[in-house]
Amino acid sequence: MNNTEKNHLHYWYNSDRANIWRQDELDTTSMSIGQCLRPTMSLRAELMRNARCISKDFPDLTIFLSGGLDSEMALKSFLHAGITPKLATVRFPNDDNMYDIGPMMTMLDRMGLPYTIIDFDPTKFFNSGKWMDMAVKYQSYTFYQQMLLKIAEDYAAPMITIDEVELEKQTSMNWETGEYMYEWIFLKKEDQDGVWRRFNDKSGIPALNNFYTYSPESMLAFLQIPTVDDLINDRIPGKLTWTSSKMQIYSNLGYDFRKRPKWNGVENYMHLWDAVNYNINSTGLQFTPRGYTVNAIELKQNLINGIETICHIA
Amino acid sequence: MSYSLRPVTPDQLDNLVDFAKTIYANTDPNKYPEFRISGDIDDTVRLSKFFNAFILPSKFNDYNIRQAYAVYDSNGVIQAAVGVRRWNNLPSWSVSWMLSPSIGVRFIPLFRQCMVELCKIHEAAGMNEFYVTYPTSREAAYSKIMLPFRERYYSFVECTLPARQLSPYALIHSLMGSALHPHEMNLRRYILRRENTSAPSEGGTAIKRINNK
Repeated sequence: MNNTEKNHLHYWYNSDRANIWRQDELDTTSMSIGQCLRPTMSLRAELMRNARCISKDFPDLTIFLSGGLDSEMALKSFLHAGITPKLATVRFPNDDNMYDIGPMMTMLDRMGLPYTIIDFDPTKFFNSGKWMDMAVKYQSYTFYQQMLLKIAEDYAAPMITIDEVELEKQTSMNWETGEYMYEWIFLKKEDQDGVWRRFNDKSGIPALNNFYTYSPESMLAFLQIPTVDDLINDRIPGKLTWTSSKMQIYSNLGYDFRKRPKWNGVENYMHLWDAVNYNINSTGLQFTPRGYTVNAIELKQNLINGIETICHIA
Repeated sequence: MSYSLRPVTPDQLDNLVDFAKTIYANTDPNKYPEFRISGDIDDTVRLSKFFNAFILPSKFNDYNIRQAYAVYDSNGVIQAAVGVRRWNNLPSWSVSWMLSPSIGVRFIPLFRQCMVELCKIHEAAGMNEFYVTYPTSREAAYSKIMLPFRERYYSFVECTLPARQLSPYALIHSLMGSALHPHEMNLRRYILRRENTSAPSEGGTAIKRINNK
């Protein structure tokens, strides 16, 4: 199954590229980001192309909308590509995430787009212990992903949750000399893309997680946006992540959108998130989750020069 | 006899594994807990996986957050190997493991020289604190062997973990090898003595601040 174009984003453990399951705490892990194979278009054009490619592979695809800007921009890319996908959103009891999904539902109603509401009770899910099943079954570390995996299992049809080109400023350290530097990195967490590949492998359900990173060219188009270029070259003082620049960056797409605060949608369930985090080792999942990080400037150069980028994690 | 430390390189993995197997073959198997190194049954695979984490090539991010060193004598013969772990939550490091066929009085100078070299490396890198864990029953021996370090380092037992119990603190749990030890374990901290690390009131003498306001 193609999770990304030509599976350019790939994750594996130790030296076997086919090994997507972690067996030991000390397993090394790697991520590859493919090379650009054609001239890059604008981000808007690249995202419309991604929408067409994904829909071609999965004509019956459902987009899971979170209420955030990433998924709204993804939806608009599909619509502008002439594709009206199936839509779904997850609603928590007592309107606990209505502040997040409510405005998005209003937008869909105004646009005349039908959508499915999936009712899901995070407290019930936690108290039932099913989060542990998800944790062990798919090697998933966070409550958020465990909920999504359960929802995807129950939905049992082609679906996509929307990712982002996550950029953060982090330190890199030479532990032998103590030398360190701050650098902007492209980040993927072990709990994000990898877990969906394991989900596909075990359940056979085509569940995708890569929209903005679907092709190397769309990643490069994103990195070439002037605001992103300013960020990764440290020309915007005080920034530690790309999140607070998101609206400015997405405004390059030329789509109208509502300015909004940043939510993760589970603000009313952070106690459960923390409880999972605290108890994750009791599930039998004894691994320390890791992040794949690549220097953003180096990644951009590799993409421009048509070079595959491989990140190895100790 | 003088000793020197050199980082173990990835191409020396097999030698390191053979060295470890030789030493473990002459050790009481009940001496150590079952570390969650890997699920492999084969000893060579299991040890390779473990030691590999300490000798990763530089293409890995954080490749030297763990590092193995070989301890050579003045004749260029390996007398011991030691693995250290650097911690990213404080500028600190710990001794993860040490392998040596030397015992008793032959081991003491080797261990001390090894620790001197490790302290040098880590102090130069700005890591001024390190941790050692050992069975509580060995407290006297450890105190004695580490006595020279007390001139330069503050030292105290941070905590004693009862046999077959896990620490609720993540760092301490990690320092204990994330394992359930069959015996009581001590965690000892060493903190480099530096300027301004003594409290004004140390020794019971309060220093009165002069305030002109």
